Amino acid sequence: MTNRGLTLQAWLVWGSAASLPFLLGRNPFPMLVALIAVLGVRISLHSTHVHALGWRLLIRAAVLFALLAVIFNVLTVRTGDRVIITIPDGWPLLDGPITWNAVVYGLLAAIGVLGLVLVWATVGANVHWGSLVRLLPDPFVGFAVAGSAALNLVPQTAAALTDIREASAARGYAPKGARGVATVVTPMINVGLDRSMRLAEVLEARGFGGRRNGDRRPPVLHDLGWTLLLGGAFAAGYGLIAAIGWALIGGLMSCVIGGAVLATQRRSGAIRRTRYRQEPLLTADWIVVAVSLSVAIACLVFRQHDPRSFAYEPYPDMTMPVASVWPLLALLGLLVPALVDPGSEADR
Amino acid sequence: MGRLSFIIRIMTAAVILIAALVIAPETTGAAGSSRAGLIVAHGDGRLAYALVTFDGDSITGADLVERSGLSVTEVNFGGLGVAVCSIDATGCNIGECRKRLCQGPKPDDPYWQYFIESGSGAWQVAALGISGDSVPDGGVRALIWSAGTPQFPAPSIDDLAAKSGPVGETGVALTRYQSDGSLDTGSESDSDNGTPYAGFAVVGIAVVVVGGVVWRRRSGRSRR
Repeated sequence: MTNRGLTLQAWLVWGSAASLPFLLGRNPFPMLVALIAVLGVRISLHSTHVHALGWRLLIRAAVLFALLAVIFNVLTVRTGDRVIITIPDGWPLLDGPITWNAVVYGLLAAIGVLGLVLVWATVGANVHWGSLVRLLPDPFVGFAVAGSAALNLVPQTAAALTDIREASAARGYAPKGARGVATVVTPMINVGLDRSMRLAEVLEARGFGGRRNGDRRPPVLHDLGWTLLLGGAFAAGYGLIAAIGWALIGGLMSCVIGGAVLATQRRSGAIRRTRYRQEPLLTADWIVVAVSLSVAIACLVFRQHDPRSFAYEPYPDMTMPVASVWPLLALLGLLVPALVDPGSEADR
Repeated sequence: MGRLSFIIRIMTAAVILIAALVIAPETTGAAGSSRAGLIVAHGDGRLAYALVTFDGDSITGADLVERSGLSVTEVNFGGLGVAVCSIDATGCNIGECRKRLCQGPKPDDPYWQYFIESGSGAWQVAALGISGDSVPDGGVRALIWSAGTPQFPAPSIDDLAAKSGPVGETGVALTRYQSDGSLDTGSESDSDNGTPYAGFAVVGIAVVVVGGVVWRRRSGRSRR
């Protein structure tokens, strides 16, 4: 048996479940318990995976965005029963009370953002994005390659930034403060463009974007099928969100027709990808998937039963948030990857 | 030296800011000689009548709402003005308000609409909202939680004053009515949930459990 970590599928299910407490509302208790569990998973597995290093910069950025969210909220919501200070009427746009309610709401929003960043940084540090490409069906390989190239941009940029800083330090120059930004950004953009060109050349050399010689049939029906499918999906999604019945039904019908057109255009003798590396789900993966799904279902059921278990707003009066014990205990299940991840165990 | 000058700059700015806040004249809600009225319709038959007194010729719609004594939640959109999100627990939360001003997806989904009394009992919608409005002495305004128009005629300021009750020391009169027309005395239970000890206990348990798991993983790794 190989001594590998959890599979991509397990991490994706865990990441989706762990995101729920931060998306369902602003109640601090579920967010805190989920944040503690995610931190536990991250700290437990961090040193076993070298890919985690680049995410430190991202988390610093998340903290910065969180601070901005607090300031933004304090300046835009002038409501609440706990006034810190009242800015006089003579101050344009700033006049009015600044309240603790707004500070608390901003902090809760910040915890939500930080939690989501931590969840997906943890997922990103423990999976290889190449696995995502392998996981998708053949018709979506083009999307997957484009997506993985886009996802690769952030860690590549972070690595470029580190390289530039080290090169500057080796030459006795340490860029600091706002004045140092220009000297760092220019080479960073150059390096980023250079790496993008290299990636495009590599993809081109491997035949991505090319057509097989046998594909000479007029692509009208093929294009029409995709147009109907994607256009219908968009219309149906909008209809669902905006509660427009005819858009939903029409979009779904368009999806079905588009899918049928694409199915008729499919050739039985099409060349398929050869898969050399199979990663079957092992016991630990199934445990993570099952526990994560249970946590997600529990969150949704408890929220449906009592919305206050996940929702909280300190407006107009700041009251204590509701703490429902069972959903909070269920969220401790998010710790499961730290308990069963075989990355450091020898029994697999 | 650089850091010291930075700290001195920050402290100087803070002192100037605090001095400006202290020295600037405070706007208080003392009673004045002019009057403006506000009717709030919650969409379920409940109504609130507020009479605000002020000095000068006019008062902004935002000041009228804020001084009315109602429990109002607003979001400031900078140059676009102020949006009303909820009044006395009717409305939507801040997130929904920021997204689309409480408006639901259907055409008849309610949101807080601001109306101006345009004479002879008629209402006219105020497209620019409360912050774009200047209410003159004797002016009456309405905020309704609906996608339609007010189902009641615009009263005169004297009729509104009769329903809002006597003006208090703050220069404001406010009376709420139930949907059956009776006075709302605010006897409903307070929404304070008490101290959530159970929540703090579970957070503490989470810290202990996570600490134990991390310690076990780390100690197991160091043994190998």
